[in-house]
Parts: sequence; structure tokens; C-alpha cells
Amino acid sequence: MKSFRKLSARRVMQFRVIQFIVGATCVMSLTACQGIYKGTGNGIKRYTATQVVPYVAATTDIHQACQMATAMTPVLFSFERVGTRLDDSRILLSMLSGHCASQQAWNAQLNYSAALKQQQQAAAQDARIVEKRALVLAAQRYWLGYQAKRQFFQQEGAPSQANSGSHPSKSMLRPAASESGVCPQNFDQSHQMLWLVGMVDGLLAVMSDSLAERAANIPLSAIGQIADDAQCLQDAQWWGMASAIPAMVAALKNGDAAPYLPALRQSSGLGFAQGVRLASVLEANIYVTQGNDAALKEAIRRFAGDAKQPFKVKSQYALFDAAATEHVQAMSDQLWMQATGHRTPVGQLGKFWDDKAASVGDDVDLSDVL
Amino acid sequence: MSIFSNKNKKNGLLCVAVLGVLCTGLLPAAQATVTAEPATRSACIYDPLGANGPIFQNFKTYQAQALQWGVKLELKPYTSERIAAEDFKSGACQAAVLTGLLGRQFNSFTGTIDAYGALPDYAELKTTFAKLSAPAVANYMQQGNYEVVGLMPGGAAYLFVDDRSIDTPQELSGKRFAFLDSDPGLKQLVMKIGASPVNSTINTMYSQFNNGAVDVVFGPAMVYDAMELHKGLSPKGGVVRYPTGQLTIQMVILQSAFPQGYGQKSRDFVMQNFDQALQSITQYEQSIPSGLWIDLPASVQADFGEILRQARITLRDQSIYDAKMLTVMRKVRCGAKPDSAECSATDRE
Repeated sequence: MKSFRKLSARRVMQFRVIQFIVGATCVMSLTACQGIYKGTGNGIKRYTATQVVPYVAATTDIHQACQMATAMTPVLFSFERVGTRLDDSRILLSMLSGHCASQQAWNAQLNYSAALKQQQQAAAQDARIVEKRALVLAAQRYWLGYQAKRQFFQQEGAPSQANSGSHPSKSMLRPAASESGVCPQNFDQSHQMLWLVGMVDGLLAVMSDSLAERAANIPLSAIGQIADDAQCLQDAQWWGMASAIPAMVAALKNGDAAPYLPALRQSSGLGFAQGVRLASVLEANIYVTQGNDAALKEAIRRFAGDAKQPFKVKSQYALFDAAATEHVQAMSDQLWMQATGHRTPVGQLGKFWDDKAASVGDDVDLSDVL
Repeated sequence: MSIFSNKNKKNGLLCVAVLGVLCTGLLPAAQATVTAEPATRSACIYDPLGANGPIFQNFKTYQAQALQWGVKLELKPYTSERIAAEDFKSGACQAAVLTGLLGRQFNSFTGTIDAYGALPDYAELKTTFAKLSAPAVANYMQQGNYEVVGLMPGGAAYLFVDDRSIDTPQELSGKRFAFLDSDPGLKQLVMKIGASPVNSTINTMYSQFNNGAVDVVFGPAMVYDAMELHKGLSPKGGVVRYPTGQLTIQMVILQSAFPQGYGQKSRDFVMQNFDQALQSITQYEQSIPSGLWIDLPASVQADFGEILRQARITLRDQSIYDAKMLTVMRKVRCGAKPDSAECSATDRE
């Protein structure tokens, strides 16, 4: 009995030791997991900022990029649960995932126009419903990007005059103003790019929501802030967008776009010359708003360029030009669909069904020969 | 006794009338197949945001539905309401979508729904629309060759003031009050309360408020965000929580250009979406920070109500407002609040 007690006491001791080891291991493992997750998150944050973003910004395959962003977003941003903020990555990735939803909306819009042309009432209604759903999704995704921009620069920029309420004069703003009064202080090129993409996110969110009949309830007040934020950038460096964004916003708010068209046109020219034609999208969008098909066609022609004025993309930011191309192509497709029942033929962006065929050989006089 | 006379009932022109409401949202799609070649007609649609705006976009749903009624509608966006109305009058389009203010020239009856203070809340607006949907009143939708084929809520109009202490009608006296030159009613109202009317346009009135050129401006809750009125309301302004009117958006057609019975089908279709449209409008109202709202005691609301009522009577006597429509709305108000003084007033509308 005594030996049994001794044995039992030893076993109890052994059990307690094992229990302690297992418990300690569990605690250490859990702590280690948290540490590993956070370390991994921080690593991913750095990798995304230093490698993924520049790589993606230079890609021309916007379809692949938007699908990547859509697929990766849940995994990537799960690291925010363990304390890794990824606002900077979210700014670009939200633009890309929003672009995927915009593509769905464009396709549905084309289906709507095709059904209308063929007098298929139910099909047209259905296409409009699909379009609205996609637009709401796009607006929500873009809006996340805009909010991430605000969050990121509130952390990074520490704007010292944030509550001043007044906007500094334009000469003081370059490159230091906004987000309620001031620009970020640490405003290197990569941050400026994020600032621009965040603004585009905000604009696209409001515009998509408007097209969705305000079903996503995106605050309209954002566009005024975005117009102010644009002053933190320089046209010469960012493809005319610093002037294009306030001009577009003013045109939308004023109702009469005419006073702002010269600035938009000039910005489009700058973007074309600098290799990223985002400003052209804003200009073309104003013509869509006005229902001015003739001006829209001209804007699309200028966007496409020609042999005399060939376009050369800025490879470092090819993604943004690819996105701009898709936006403009969607507008072109809409014109083509309404007129002909099909989209812009491949390789024909900048050309239209009613273009007069260029006469060939007019400059050669063969009257003395034939 | 019905406010709609028996004579009208006997005209043989009667059909079901429904004043509909939408501004946003979709209506259920019908399943019928369109067989006959539809007539092509164009619609001049006013939307401050043009073709990308929510009103214009909403009419895409309507456009698809119209196929079933034998009409292929081509939608033309206008960011200028005045030009949209002029193009409609000139025949450049056979339908138009306008605010009640400019729509009044085509139908003074429905154009009076926007009368100042006539419908203080959305329940009364909905009741009014429901009453007007009765078959017996369809002929009121027609004036000459124009027919109103859809009414949509545009939101209640509120006063935005740069000083929160302005919370009675008397305190508006002497204040600079922006008014639209296209709205003679408002100018008279402003002068009646002793304020100084400042001539403005829809494109400038809110920037005038934001830069301090006027003290008071009015509009639907939507303009708070869209026109950044927080700038003009800062630091001590507010929004008076008393609807000074109901803005409406109205679709008018040139009746002879559309198939027989089109108007009724259209009104039925548009009517279905009242609640969804209202949801969108109340979202705008909720976007105004609660601290900015100026709540009025019942006695002050009664003061506002009486001033607006007197203004409506004056404008009725000047043939700006339609007397019968004012009576319709008075009956709706008194149905909701039978004890109101106006219900037994000798000069009731």
C-alpha cells in the first residue's frame, strides 16, 4: 500500500511535470504563433509596399492585376487581425478589385444596350439589375481604398495644420497641403502615387454610386475633399491629374462644364505626353455626363493617338494607363453598341463606324499616264 | 364631397391616375415580349449630374419598361433644367423630366404639389400621391397636349441658416435669403417674412451661402453633402427641421406623340417605387450630423405653418398655385391632424 502510495505520488509528480510542459508549450506556441503571424504580417507589409506595389504598378495586364487583388484581399488583410496595418496596400488593391467590379458593370451595361436595341425588355431590365449590383460592389471597393488613403496618411503624414479649417494658398501647397488643410509631410514619390490612387478611388466610388442610383450611399462630400487633395500633387509629375481632378469636380458641381473643359483638355494632353492617360478618362467622362457624343468621340480619338502622334506608355506606371484604356474602351464600346449592336472592333479604339474611309492615292496624279 | 367635380367624372376622359415616385431604385421587370415595332421618342432628362447622375440612371429602368408600352425612348441628359424645358417645348424631345418648379408650366395642378409648406411630412406626401392615383382624377394629369406620366419625390426642402439662433420665422427678418429667379413664389415668401431676397441660380446659391454672401438658403438634405454646406454652416449654423416644401421630379410627355394609354401605364409603373425612393432621401437626411439640426417647438412650427399657408393663399390668388391642388393637400393635412386651426379657418384652402 505504502509502495503504491509512493508510486502514485511519483506518477502524480510525473503527470504534473508533463502537464506543466504541455501547458507551457501550448502557451509558448500560442504566443509564438501570434508573434509569427505578426512577424509574417510585417514582412508581408514590407514586401507588398516595396515589391508588389511597384511590380503591379508596372504591369500592363490589368485583368490579371484586378483578379489578383480580388483574390488576395481576404488573405492579405487578415493580417490586420493580428495588428499589421496594411492601409497603404489597400489603397491600390481596392482600386484593382473595384476595377474588376467595374468590368462586370460595363459588360452588363453593354448587355442592357444590346437588349434595348433588340427590344428585349425583360433582358434589358435584367442587365440593368446586374449592372447596378456590380456598380454597388465597385463603389464599396473603391470607397475602402479611399478610406485607407485617409487612414494611412493620417498615420503617416501627421498634418500639423489639420484643424486649421482653411486651405493654404496654392503656392504653399506644392507639395505640402491637404487632408483637411495640409499635405503629408513625408511625401516621397511612392507616397504621392498612393495619394493619387486614393483620390481616384474616392472619385470612382462616388461616380459608381451615382451610376447605381446612390444605392451604395457613398458620401457626396468626398469629392470636395478630393478636389482639395489634388493640390498636393504637381501636374508635371502626375500626368495632369492635379488640375484635372479639381476641374472635373467643379464641372460636376457647377452643372455647366464649359468653363472647365479647357483645363481638362490641357490635362489630357499632359497625360498623353507623359505616358499615363488618366486625365483623359476624366475629360471623356464629362462628355458622357453631358451626352455630347461628338466631343466624346474626339476625346477617344485623341486618347488613341495616331501615326503622327503615337502614344508611348510610361512603363513604371503602365497599370494606370491600362486602367484608363479600359475605362475609355468601355465608353467607346457603349457608343459602338448603341449604333451597331457590337463593341469596338479589336484594334479600332479611336475609330468609329461612321468614319469616312480615307481616300487613297489622292496625292498621286496619274492623268498623264492613264 | 369629392374635391374633384362630377363634371370631370362625366367627361369620359377618365382613367386610372397614379402619381408615382422614384428617384432611385428599380421596379419589377415585366415578363412580356415586345413584338410590334416600337415608336422612337426622345426624353430630355434633367439631372444635375447629367448622364452619370442617379435620376438619369434610374430612367434606364423606365426606358426598358417603355418598350413594352410600344415606345423606344432615347434618353438625353441635361445638366441645365431650363434648357431641358426649352428643348421639350420646342419639340426637340417628346418627353421631359423636370422638377415640379419648372414642370408647373406644363401642368399647374401637379406643379402645385411643391407649394411651400403644403406637405410637412412624407406620410402626407404619400397619402397625396395615393389619393391622386384614383382613376377619377386622371384627367388632372393632362393640360392641353401635355400629360404628367410620373411624379417622384425629390426630398423635403429645409432652411440652412448660418446662425442657429434663427429658430423662429421672426428671426429671419433682415437676413439675406437666396432665392431662384425661376421661383416667384419664394421671392414673395422671403419678402413677406421681412428677409432680404438675394437673386441667385441653382449653380450659385449654395456657394453664396458657403462664402457668406447670404445668410439663409433652402434645399433638400442632399445638398448638404453635395454642395459642402458644412462650410457655410460653420461655426454656428444649423438646419431647421421643418420642411418648407416637398420637391418633386415630374415626367411630362407630349400626349399626342405617345400611344393611347401610355400615361396611365407609366404612372402605375413609377408609383410602385415610392418607398424605395424615400429610403434614398432619408439617407441624405441622416447624413446631416444630428447636432446641426434645429428642432422647433410645436408653437414655432405652427407659426411657420401659418406664414406658409398665408403665402400659399396669396400665390393662389395670383394664379401661381392651383387652387384645387391646394385643397387636395389641405384635406390630406387635415385628415392627419383634424384639430389644426387651418381645418376650420374661414380662409382655408
